Amino acid sequence: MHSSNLLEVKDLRVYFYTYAGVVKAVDGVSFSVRRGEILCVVGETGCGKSVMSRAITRMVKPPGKIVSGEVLFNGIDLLKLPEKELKKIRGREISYIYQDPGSVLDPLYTAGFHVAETVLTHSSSMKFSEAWEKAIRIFREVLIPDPEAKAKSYPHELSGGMKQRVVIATAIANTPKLVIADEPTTALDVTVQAQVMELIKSLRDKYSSSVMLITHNLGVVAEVCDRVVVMYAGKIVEAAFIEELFTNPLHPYTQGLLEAVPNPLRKIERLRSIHGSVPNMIDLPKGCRFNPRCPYAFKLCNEEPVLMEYSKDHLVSCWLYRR
Amino acid sequence: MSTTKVVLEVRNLRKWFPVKGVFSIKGFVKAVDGVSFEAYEETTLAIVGESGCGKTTLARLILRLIEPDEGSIIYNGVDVMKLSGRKLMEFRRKTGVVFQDPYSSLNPRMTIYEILKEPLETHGMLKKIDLDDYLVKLLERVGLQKEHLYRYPHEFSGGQRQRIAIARALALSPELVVLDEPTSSLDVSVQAQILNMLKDIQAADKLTYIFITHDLGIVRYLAHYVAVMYLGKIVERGPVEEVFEKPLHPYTKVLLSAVPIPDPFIARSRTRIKVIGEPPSPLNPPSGCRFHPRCPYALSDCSKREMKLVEVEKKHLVSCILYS
Amino acid sequence: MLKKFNRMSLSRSAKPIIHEWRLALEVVKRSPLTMMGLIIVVGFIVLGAIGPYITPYNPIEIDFSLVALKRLQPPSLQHPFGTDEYGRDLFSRVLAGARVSLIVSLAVMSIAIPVGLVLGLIAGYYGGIIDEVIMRITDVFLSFPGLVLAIAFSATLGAGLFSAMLALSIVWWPSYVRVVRAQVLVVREQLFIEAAKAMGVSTRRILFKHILPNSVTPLLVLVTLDFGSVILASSALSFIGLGAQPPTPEWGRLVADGRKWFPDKWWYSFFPGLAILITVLGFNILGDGLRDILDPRFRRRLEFKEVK
Repeated sequence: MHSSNLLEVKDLRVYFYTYAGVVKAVDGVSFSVRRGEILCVVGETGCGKSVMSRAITRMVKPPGKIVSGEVLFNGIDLLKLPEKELKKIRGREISYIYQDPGSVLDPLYTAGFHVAETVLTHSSSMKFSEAWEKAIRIFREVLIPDPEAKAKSYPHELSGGMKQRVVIATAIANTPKLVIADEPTTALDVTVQAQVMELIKSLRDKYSSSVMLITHNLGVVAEVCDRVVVMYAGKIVEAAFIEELFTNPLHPYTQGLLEAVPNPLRKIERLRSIHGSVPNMIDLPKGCRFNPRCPYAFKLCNEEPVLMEYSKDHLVSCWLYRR
Repeated sequence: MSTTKVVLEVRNLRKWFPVKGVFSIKGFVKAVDGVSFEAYEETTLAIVGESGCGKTTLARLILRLIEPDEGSIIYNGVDVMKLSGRKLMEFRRKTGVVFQDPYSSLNPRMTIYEILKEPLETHGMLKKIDLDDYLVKLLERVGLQKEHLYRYPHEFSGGQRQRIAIARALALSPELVVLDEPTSSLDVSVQAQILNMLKDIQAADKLTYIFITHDLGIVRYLAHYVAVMYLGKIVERGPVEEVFEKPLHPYTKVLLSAVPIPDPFIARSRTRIKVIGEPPSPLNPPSGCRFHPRCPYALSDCSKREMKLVEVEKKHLVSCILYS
Repeated sequence: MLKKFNRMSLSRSAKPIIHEWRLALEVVKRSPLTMMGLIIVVGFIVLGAIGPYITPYNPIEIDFSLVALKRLQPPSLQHPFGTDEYGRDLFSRVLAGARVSLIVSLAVMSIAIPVGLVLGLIAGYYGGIIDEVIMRITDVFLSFPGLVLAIAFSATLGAGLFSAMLALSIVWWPSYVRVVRAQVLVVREQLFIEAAKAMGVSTRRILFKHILPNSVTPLLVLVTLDFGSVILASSALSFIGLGAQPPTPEWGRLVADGRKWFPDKWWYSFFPGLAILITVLGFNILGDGLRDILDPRFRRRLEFKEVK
């Protein structure tokens, strides 16, 4: 285990037991987040990235269940930690940013209160007034204009971008080591999105926090990330540094994704689309899950491939690259 | 494009929504505030903007789903606002629409068969065609199969539902199709399929698209002309390649600079124009040029004068003090 | 050719309902409580329909020659619910009473549902002054005290089931208008309505083909629950003498009649009372279960099969 690994996920499995059958939302996922890096988890709907992000701090509700695996945070397995200890980590060492800030903020409490509450939850001796002061300080750092006034505002009085900044402020209030951001910019306008992306980068640069950013937007990935993990149907299909992934995408799914994204700076003649659609998670095909849609599928693909190292720091799960 | 025939012409379109206070009208949401543009035959005009810019209201105005306060909408030389009865039905037949949300744009209690039959029935086409045959061919055009006719919308994925919505829009062989963010809620790979399909159908049926979106990548891929909207006004419009290669209006530059580029090398090497603040509410737009509080090139006059669209190059218009 | 015809000739509005009930049945099977409610309701309807034909004794006629011998007998094998003061078998009377309750509730619903639907649709869809007018009229009717109305009708038209049904119908439709209108307000904003307008579909068709079918579900739950409430209300009216008149064997009436001999001859009031309790409970449980079934969040967890 690298000492530079802040978070190590090993063979994580999260299954959902529904009336219709067992949904293997996360099925044997292993990856790591290093100190001071921004790791992006990319995938489309149903690939399991959101479930996986919640499973890290055991926030999976029935009918979902964490079936097996390890989540090592600074060497401690979070999945085996008693709830009391885990509560100390949530919101302090590991914090979350979500897609829709409107539903995360309680409409009955002011923006400042949200941050102050987080601060007080994890401090034993602080007074409310001190926590409030800290909240205003953090608002200033996340570039919320007129922080004293905004702290007294209620969520419905704030715009989408402003709310997201409040959420980010709440997330960094206790200087966490890891910030997990689940589609933080999807609901925002382009110009606001750019500002929030700068903020996320500053989390790494100014606060030395690691960020696990979950998104389906490849533009955001290219702008913000250091390393990327690509998920498909509950499994990781490729992992690499961002430049490597874009110049040398190995897995056919990654290639398909990159060719399917329109680029505002280039005139593309034809977008290459991936044939077919995401598999039914209850009735998964045998072998490689991408097999039915893969243009390079061959006989071996009836066996499920494993994640192997293609080159240093570039992993891929595909039989095309068997040794 | 070989033809420059104007299919749709919009002049000085205005729509303000009153905000009611307790006893009187508190103010107006100036959703669309003096918009003019043309759409040419067999081309796609993209209307881009962020939330609150009025593009969705504009879409509804064009289709005459809401009535404008001022201005004219001329379709094939005919003033749409003056249409009624049979002529209005004619207009409805020649225009199709695809909405953003695939989950609420199809009646959950109707089968696909009934959904696709409805436009044909409404316009009295049932006697002229073999219905079953026609519907099957329609479905196949959008990549679905005959079996799907007897299912209900909730049995389909988002991408499939949008295909059904597109099939519905095409059922009457329209000339103009208005698409309001049709792929925004879809995955990347599904989006690519739908965009390609739209491109092919446009070429095959010689359709004119008015495509509303906030995604500049889609604009570059699909559109021939683009109009950039900000707070109810068009700030720049012209051929897509022109506007993207040589953006004139500061807002267009800011947009192009802010949009995430799916290429890490370009993303990290380019210089970003810093824009401050957020899009203000259309309830109280800034005085003069609406962009001036956030504009990195703002001059003192910008808060006083409202600029009109001026043609700077062939078909490339911009409304900014820097070009007058 | 014939196959195609068969598939498409199935009435358009029947298909979604069939599909719904198939799904609903699945859920009901998994919830024993709802299952029980369904059994009670179905039992009630069946008994209401065939009750009078299967009574072991005539529920209405009095055999004067046997009165002295048979009157007020406790429950026995011959008379499982005992006999009343005229020697009539109470089991037969309670069984026959099921039909009375069924008819009354059906009558009230057959007025309240259409009126509520139509007014709710119009008020919700058109809004503005039409909405205001309809809602104010509804408010007036909502504030009518049902009991007072029943008394007034009884006084003018004569006491009996007809007066009771009339009074209940008038008092029942206002809440349905509200429920339907609330749903119409939501459905009206859905994009498929805009799509229909953009297509040129007539307003009438939009109202009845698009808005109506999507607005009935809350009403369905309410109606199921209300069936029990109507039965209870009509029993209450009969209890105080305003509804069913002798010799009609209405449950509330029977409970009232049995009061004279309570608690000695307890069976007289007990069994009709029990019948009311079980029937109303059945409708309530079923209504609750229906509400869960029709809750889209609940259903999404079940519906997982997708079309390829």
